[in-house]
Amino acid sequence: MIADQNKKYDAIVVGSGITGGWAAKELTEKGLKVLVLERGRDIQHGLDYVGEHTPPWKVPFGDKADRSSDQSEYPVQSKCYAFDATTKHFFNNDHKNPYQYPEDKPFSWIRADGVGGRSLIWGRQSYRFSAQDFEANAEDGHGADWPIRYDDLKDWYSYVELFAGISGQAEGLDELPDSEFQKPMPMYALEKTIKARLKENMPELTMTMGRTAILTEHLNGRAACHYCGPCPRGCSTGSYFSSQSSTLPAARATGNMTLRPNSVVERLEYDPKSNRVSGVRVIDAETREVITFQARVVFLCASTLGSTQILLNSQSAYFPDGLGNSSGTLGHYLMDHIKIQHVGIFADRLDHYYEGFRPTGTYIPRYKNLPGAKGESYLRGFGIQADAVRPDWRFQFNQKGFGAGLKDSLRKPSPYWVWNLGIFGETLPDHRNKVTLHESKVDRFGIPQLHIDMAYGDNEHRMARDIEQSAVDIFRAAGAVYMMTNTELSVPGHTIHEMGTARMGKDPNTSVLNGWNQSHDVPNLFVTDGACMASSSCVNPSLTYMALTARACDYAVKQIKAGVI
Amino acid sequence: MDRRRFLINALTLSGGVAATSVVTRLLAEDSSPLMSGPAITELKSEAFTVEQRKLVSVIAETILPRTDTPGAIDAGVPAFLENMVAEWLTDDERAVFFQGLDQLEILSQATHKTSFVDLTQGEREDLLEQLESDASDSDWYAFGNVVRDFVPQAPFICQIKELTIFGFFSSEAGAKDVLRHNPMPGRFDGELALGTDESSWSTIRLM
Repeated sequence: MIADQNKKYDAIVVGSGITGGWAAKELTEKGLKVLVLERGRDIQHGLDYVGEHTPPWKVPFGDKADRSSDQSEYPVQSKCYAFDATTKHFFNNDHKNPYQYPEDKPFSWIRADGVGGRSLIWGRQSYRFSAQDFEANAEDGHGADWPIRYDDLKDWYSYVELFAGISGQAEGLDELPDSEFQKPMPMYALEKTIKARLKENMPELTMTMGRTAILTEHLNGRAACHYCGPCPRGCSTGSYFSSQSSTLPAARATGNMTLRPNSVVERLEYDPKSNRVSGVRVIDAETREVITFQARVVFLCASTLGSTQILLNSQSAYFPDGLGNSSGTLGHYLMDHIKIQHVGIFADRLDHYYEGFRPTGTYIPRYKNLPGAKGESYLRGFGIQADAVRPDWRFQFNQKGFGAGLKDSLRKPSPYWVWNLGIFGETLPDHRNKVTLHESKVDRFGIPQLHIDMAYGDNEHRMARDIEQSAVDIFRAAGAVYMMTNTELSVPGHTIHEMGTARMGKDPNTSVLNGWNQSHDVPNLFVTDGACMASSSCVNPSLTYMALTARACDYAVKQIKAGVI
Repeated sequence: MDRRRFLINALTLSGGVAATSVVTRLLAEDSSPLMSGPAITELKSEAFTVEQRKLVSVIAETILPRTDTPGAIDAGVPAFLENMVAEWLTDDERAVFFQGLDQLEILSQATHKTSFVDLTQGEREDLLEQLESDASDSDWYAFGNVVRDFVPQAPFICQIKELTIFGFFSSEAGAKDVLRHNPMPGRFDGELALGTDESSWSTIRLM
């Protein structure tokens, strides 16, 4: 469908990633005519997954980093774990998409403009926030109290999980509520050994299969995973949840969606008489034509920092500091998760290997600072993504020797297993961590660049010390023969769980959005991506964004039908 | 040991950290599948003289010779090496590579009074081991210093060893006839028995 400037849409959704796709699906299925604006290029399901199923001998440079291109075009994106020759076409060219940060405070902003956004390359780990997570701000006084509680979101989690398809194991834990699960993927022999040892030696821990938006059973025309391995290349069987595989086809099937790629939203226009967003001003990335689209309601789903950038750039006489920013908190309270990686070497189960490339690891839910447990020297907690790897020739090619002996040694699996712990810690909402529009630098569309100013604080550093000690404890309990642990915090942004900057809250004086992801100031404006988050939990946040989006859409449509907006 | 480096490398295997690599011909706008492109062992490059091409082939075959399975020449590694020297090494690294080729030939003449290409496999291995011994204090040999980041200061022997191994085990012959190739398993079994003589899979996860 061609987007028509003169047509009035019922709703405009800005962005087509995880939350934009959900908003498009929910709003169109409820009968609204929806225009989806995507700033990047079109990416067709299957057809444009040009790296999918590439055999090793077709991967350029033998899978060695293109150092020249990485340095000149992708200095930030190339540091992402999912970036390589087979996926780089999904990532933004950093050179063409600059942003700013203070010299001493680097921020790693991983971006994938294009239809589907980061849903094509996301890690797919899917965990519910717990009741404790929604109460944390009220409990310890950091950040604004969430205007909702777990029970407000519980049914919406179920709703999105049944459609997205989450594989995992129910455990009945308050600290990590169960989802609606498809059957879990199996464990490696080594993982079973470690799980048994942990149960014996650290009974306070639970080690469960990673909860992952990858199908183990067929669902709505999407096939169960075929275990080829590298998900971020794209999946034409739709086995992992992406906008392309899941939400956009559902929205398209209603006949109510118009999707317009190459549409860079410059700003939202505001009508003070009606107190409504009155237009969405778009720059066509190909023609540079400027077009204004109109709708009754606007959903910003442009990613945490993308949505806030749009609001900051939508100044007017009535909102001189950014649209919907009467509280002055827009841009503030930026969070990410700290991520600290540890390596353990194991000599167990060497006579066991695997068949199939399991695209997830295991998970050890938060076990510190739980209600009733002894308090730590820091607030909040951390969760652990644990992953077993049997190293191959890539891990031993610098051994000495030449000839038949070298060849024979390299072809076999290494004589040890590696068990990595990726420990993700909750960060506190902090007013000092903020984004603003750069005062002079603009991008290629003339839009002010984002200036990102974020650093981790004392609580994160205290937690990091306990994270290292915990890694040591776990490796010992699990039977590692050698370990390498550390306390070095990840660069902010690098975990790609950036959250906050347009937070939800009860009080319009201290928050941007209400309990329905609706602007306190402007009733037909909703923000449902990570920008809305009032705290960060320690679990991967995308599933929560999905549930919040579906819930907000339901509310918005009811408000429209009631004639309120 | 470089602990930080080991961490990065260990994590790379599990997809925890960047698994970087490249495509010069794959621009963001390009929509042709990589699968329909040329194999890395079929690329035509003009980095070497005829003599150098012969010498590089013989070195690669010395590193990974034909046994009951294909060797480096069978697998097309020499074409891969020439392409990497032409398009991938930096100017400084390329200078190290060509100087190394010359010095190996000089060493062969000094030791055996004949060209490296005319030596027996055993004599060739001895000379490469001599180079390796001379280079053994290089960072390249640090435990765990493997996987992704090329060591820019790597001596010639390390350069050619690393590139030969990558080309070989990434090649179609290496993947199918030396490693085990099963790109579409259709199932996951985490407890498959591993015989003492069985090879690794040819592909890895990229999470």
